Amino acid sequence: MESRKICILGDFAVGKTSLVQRFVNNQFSDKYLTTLGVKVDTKQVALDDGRALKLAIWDVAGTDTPTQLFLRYTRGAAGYLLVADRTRPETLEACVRLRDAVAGTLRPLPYVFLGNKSDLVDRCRLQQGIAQARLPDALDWLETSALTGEHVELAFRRLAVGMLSKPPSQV
Amino acid sequence: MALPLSIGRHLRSLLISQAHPCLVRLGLDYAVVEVTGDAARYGLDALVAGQDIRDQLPLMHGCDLAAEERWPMVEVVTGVHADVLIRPLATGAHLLLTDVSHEHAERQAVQQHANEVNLLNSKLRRSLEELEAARAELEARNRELDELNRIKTRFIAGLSHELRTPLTAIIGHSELLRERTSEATPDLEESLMAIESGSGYLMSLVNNVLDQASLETGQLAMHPAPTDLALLFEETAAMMRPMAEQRDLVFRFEAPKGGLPDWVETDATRLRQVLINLVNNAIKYTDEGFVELSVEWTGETLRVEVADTGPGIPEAQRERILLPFQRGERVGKQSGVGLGLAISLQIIRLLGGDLVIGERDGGGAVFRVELPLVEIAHAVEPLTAGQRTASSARIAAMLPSRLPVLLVEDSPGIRILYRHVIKALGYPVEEAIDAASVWRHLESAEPSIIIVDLNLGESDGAELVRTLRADGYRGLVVGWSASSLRDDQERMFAAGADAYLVKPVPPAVLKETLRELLMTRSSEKGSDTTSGG
Repeated sequence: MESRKICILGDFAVGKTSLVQRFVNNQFSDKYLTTLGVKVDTKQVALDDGRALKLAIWDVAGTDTPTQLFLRYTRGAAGYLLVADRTRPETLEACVRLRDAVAGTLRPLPYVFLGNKSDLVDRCRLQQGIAQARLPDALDWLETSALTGEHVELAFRRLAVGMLSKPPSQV
Repeated sequence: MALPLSIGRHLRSLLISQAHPCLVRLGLDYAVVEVTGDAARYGLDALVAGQDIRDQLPLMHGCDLAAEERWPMVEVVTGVHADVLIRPLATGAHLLLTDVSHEHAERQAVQQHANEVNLLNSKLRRSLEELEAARAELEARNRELDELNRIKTRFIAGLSHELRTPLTAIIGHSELLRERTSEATPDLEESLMAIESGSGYLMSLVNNVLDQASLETGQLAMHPAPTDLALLFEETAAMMRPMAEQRDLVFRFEAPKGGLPDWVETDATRLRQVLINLVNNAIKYTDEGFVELSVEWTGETLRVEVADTGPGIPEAQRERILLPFQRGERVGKQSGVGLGLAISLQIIRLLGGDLVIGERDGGGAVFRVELPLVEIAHAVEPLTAGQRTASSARIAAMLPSRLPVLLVEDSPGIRILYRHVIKALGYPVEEAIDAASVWRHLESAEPSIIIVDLNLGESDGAELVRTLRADGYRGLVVGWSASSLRDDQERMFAAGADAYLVKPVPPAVLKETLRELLMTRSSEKGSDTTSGG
């Protein structure tokens, strides 16, 4: 079975670890625990065309500034999920910086943008249209909720399909 | 630093015991060649030679074995946080894992705290932004409300003007009719009384609504002036007594034993309005017995009580009925909209006093007014003999018959009414209906006094006065209007008017106003009082 390293990137406390936990273990905890360094999980995804792909998911510590260490963690990735917190519009700008750093230092990789915490309807201030305008090269822009599971599975599958549609040399 | 061999061994032993290293030698195809060290700590104890390392250690997916790599603080499957080092070899690579869980725990706690503080700051910033947005929205709403309130006030003023103008004509003409009819038949007398009563009631309603609107927008200004309190109370009592007697009530009023100060500084018109409101209210709700107006002067405070033998006002209702458009539960079929008491309270407060409602011993209500007032020496200094002679000469020069009046009024009913009133006061009177007709009139003659309505249909009375003054007109100008709004008064004075009167203007008030203005002008300029005189 084919396998790929993917990263989940974004500012701190946007819900990256929660999204991975929802996807890998179908669990959610509302307790905020800062990720320091990186945590690696794996999960296999079955695609619509019958293929399967094993994902090694690097849950990288949140940051709004791409450091050298951050870039070392992302080296070798075939794609990534870029996460913003819809209740904190400023986290979109962190996504833009991280995307630019990855594309500039490594190479442009396929990525899917996730506007997370969509369950907090009354507090959501980041609209998808703004994210599309700021990150026009994303494979997709999804509104997700690790709490409800909304679009979480879909996000990983979109990325998997996106990575597999690229020639092997590009991933 | 050169270390003895034994020390080097000790340090090595110490490092190994703390770092729990696990070294994996890999072939170029990621196949495990050899595993040494604490493999179980990292979940690698099941590794066997030849196995793909990526099956047991997923972080190796995507890893280039030909490049040296180091990843600090990687959480592995056992929950241990490891420092991962990959060092290329000619035949593959070495993979070294060391346990940094202790360091991770310490740094994680610090980072957790920092992130939580950042989140709180972010929330605080957002809350402040929301507060600022809410404040801006409130300000915008307030501006809208102010604008709506302004429109409402102008509307009420306009409506009031429209109502008061014909009412003034009705009231004035019915008075004229009464004067002209020397021997009125009972039928005519009855009709005149009905007209006077109905129009008077309508006028008081309109006045109250306008006063309330003016109070709400701060447009009701107090005009303190030297006031003879004794005269004010006597006049009020004389006015109210017949109304009480009409309802078969006894009206009691006695001058205070300690007397009242000769002169105080207050707004006599508004104080009289309050007294009339309170007494009128008492008469209205008392079916038998008496209504009593009493007054006391403490040296600093005027205490007024209006007591009645009516049903009284339950304590629970006393505050409420002092609010606009609120009436007591025992009002029965009495007419009214519930403004008189509210206006009275607001006027008394504007004058610096207070109004409270109580219960009369023996039954009934009592309205108590406390009003701090300043006693003043004399309203007018007495004239010396020489001044009296000069004054007499000036007054002689100011005979009304020598002072032509130009009445500028667009309402035919009011124009006809005041033509008679002004003539009856002894002044020759000419009429104009708008600004253009005023200028035409001025081409042939210059009046000594011009009376200008503020609202002249297409023309603006204040603008006419301003132009007249700019053109050099030096005679007296009296502005009037059915509007008592402070803005309108100020506009007329700013344009150059010498006085402002609110219609309906009783003949006596017009007479007194003109007399005072002429006296003042005479004192200022000698006998050459007016340009046309």
